[in-house]
Amino acid sequence: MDFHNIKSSLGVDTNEAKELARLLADTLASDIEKIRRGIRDNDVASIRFVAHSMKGSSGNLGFEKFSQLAAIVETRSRAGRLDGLGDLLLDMQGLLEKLEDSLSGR
Amino acid sequence: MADAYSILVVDDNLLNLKLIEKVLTKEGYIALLADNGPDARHIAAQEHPDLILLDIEMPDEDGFEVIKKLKNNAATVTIPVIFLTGVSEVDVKLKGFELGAVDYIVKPFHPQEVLARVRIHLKLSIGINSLVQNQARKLRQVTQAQHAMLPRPEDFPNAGFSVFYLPLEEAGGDFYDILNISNQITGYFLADSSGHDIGTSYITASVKALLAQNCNLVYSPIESMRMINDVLVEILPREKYLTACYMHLNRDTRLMTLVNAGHPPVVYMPRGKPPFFIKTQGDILGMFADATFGIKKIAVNKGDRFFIYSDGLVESSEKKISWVAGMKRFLTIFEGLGKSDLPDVPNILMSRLFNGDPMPEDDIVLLCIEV
Repeated sequence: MDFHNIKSSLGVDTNEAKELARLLADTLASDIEKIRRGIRDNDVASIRFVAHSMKGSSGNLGFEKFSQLAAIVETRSRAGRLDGLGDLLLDMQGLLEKLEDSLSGR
Repeated sequence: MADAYSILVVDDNLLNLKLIEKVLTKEGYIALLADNGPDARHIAAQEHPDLILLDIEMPDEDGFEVIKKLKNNAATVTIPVIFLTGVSEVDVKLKGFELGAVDYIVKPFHPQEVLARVRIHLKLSIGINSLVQNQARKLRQVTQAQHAMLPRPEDFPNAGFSVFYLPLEEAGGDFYDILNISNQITGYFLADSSGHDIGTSYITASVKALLAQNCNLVYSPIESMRMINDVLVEILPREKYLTACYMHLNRDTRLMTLVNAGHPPVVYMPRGKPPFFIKTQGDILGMFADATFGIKKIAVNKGDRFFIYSDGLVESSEKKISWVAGMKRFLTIFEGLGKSDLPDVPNILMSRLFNGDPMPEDDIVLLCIEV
């Protein structure tokens, strides 16, 4: 995930892309944490709600891979299945780190 | 520069709000933002945006709940709402449409799609508003034309009449006319046409023209009404008709001739005496080719007064007052009116009749005539 993708995807300038990416990174980090708590508390409803939100917000900024992972989490939680969500969260975390790297110029 | 259109964006996801705000403001729209339902409804009622983009999945008050409340509020009912939904099930979309949404956008969305849908629905909204304003303008023109056709007492100083006229809608179904048949003879015509639409006002114009052609020295009052009836039977749509009353007053011979076509009875108040109804039976105008009309001839005296009126003055469907029941009370309101100046009489009668109550749900015409 590279914040520069937002520029081409949405037709915004670098500063705006950075601003949106920063907001996305913070939101996703918070959402991943909420899903972790949901898994721990077996709270299927909140996992589904948060995953749904992640799917939309990452997809809207053109991060399709992340959006697809969130969609899987949403679908599984809707079906009451929490198995394998931990691995999906790790994948998400990895993509988020790439976004953070691009934001900090690494 | 034209005023910018304002779009209210409602989403509990801050990122989505920010993204749509950027996209809209770049294109010159004013973006109003709300991250929950109650705030959205408050902003919608206060700012009256041109369009609302509304997320469905929100905690507490969801998008369905928000649109229900928006559509139940007169201040926000006409604002077009586009749903933002991450759910692609048909049931969800249908529910949105049933609740009054004009469109939906599935998330994740592309900003260009949002802009395209915003543009198309603003265009539709502008088109509908323009249509409504155009129709209102035409109705106002009809009203003006109809009012211009109604004679005023100051234009007929020798006709000795005063009038109260209140159309229920822009195009009223009741109307009256005053006809200068000769220096001594005046015709007074009052009719109640079925319906209150624009077509009704064309009937008004037609009847006015027919009166001018047929109420003259050559034809007797009953002949005039028969001539008018024959033409109306030909030209009126099947469901249209008129009740009417035509009073023909010769101030020289002091003879009043009354022709009634299914209209409420005229009130006659001889000078210094109590009022009473002149009851005549007759068919309505414009329905039957072989119609028969009630006719009454009365020798009158100077100072006698006549009152011709439409049934809206007596009837009320809300209060369940029929014409027959309303008439019993009706006659009492004329008592003592012989001493009042003629121009004041209509307003005195109206205040006695309604006594501060709301006006009835029908047109009202009251014509007061003095010999």
